[in-house]
Amino acid sequence: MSEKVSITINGNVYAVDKELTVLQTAKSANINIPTLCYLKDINEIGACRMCLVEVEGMRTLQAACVFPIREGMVVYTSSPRVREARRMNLELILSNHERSCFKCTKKSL
Amino acid sequence: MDCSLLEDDPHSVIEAMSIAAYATNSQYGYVYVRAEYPMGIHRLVIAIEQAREYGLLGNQILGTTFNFDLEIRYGAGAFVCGEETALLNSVEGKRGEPRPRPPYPAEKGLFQKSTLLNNVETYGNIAQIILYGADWYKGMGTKRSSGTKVFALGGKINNVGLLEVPMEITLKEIIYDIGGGIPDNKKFKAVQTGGPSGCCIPESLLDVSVEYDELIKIGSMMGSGGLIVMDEDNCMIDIAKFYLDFTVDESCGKCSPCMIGTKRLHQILEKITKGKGTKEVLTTLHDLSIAIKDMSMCGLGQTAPDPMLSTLHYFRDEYLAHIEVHHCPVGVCKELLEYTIIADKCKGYMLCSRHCPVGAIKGAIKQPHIIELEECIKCWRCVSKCKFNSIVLNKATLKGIHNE
Repeated sequence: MSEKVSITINGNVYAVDKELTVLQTAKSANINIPTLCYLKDINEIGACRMCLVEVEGMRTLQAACVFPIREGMVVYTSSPRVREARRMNLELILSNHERSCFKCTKKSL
Repeated sequence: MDCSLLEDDPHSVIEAMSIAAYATNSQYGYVYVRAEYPMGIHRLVIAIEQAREYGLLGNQILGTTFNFDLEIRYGAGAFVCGEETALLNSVEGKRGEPRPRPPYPAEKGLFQKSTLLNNVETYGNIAQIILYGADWYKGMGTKRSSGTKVFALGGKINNVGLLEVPMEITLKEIIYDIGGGIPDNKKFKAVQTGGPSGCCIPESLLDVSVEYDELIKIGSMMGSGGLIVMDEDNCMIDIAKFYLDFTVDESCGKCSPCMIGTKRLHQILEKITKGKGTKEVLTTLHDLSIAIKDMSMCGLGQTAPDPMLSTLHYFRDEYLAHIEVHHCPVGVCKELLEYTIIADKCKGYMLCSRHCPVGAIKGAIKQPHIIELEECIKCWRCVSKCKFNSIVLNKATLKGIHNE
């Protein structure tokens, strides 16, 4: 049994394993954080910046998929600042993208 | 300036690194130097060999049980490798891309071991502080930023070079007393501090002292200690574009806001300098910059929009001039310039019209010519061909532009 730490996400307190990241903690608590480049155990580099969350005490937004949790951490996954940043980020990624995937039959929209 | 320290006094760095290793109980150190500094590397290699000969590096230093040795790692000159985690990756032999933090280098740094990482300039101070005491060092500079700082003064200034000043000194003193003012009695416009990701400080803020906190307060930073002076002939949008061009090149391409965002900012500025900008673009520039600063993974992306943001803040009227009347007030943005032919000077030799690739210069032989501005593609080949200097810049007056 590994050590438990308490972490506050969007105002609710959760007690979870110490080794988890913010993204894994949020998943276990049924909080959805969008991801693009994250692939469990294979690609965990925090590059696409879609999973940005606001962590109290940090100057900038942090990538949830690589951010380790610690005791007493306060995280907001859906604050206006986070949503605005994600929207802008997706816009930037799409601006660099072949738009043909909008027409693709495999898209699950 | 770090290079000059490595060239002139490499022993001070080696000594300070040994002291730091002793303090943190580590046994191996790396010096990360760009391969573009062959002189610095050459002298550092000699200094390390000398230190080994004298028993100041290696096993059982000065008869104690303390062992410490140094290795030089060459960088290929990537700007992003100034970011500490990218530097660690580069030393490990990986691609120079930043790692997510935390874990910080102090917990898991080089080869996943806790690492102490400092700048050459920081180490340059250590031996002196230990020799003369902390009070001596605190006696210089201000309370919150003690000691001295080396600046690299460049740009439109009489005395170009490196200078070491106590941190209480103001920018005005550096530029006018030490730097000797602006050449040709031109008017000062702005000074850019902190390297390619610093901010452009206008004349009204020149009384700010060069300390860490004061510079951050006005939105700038100390950074690498570069000071680039600009005079009235510099177009601030062109300057912002120049710095963004650099960060677009140097962005490692790992995280999307920095990789794509800086490119987009650059494209918008390009549009403005071609007279195709709209007023809404300024809001986009501002919002996008703030978002990039907030979203980026490392220091490069978090500071890359700063030169552009500061020019947008302090020199907004210049942006408006480019956008509203399609005019570059200082005549730098080539696409916005209009040239006219002075009829009195023109002898009608037709040399200009023969060299005009689009045939925009009209007029008969021995008659004053006229440039058709609608057809002109602004290559200005005619200007270099005219032997009578009759083709001159048409400096329109700026009317109706207010600083909003």
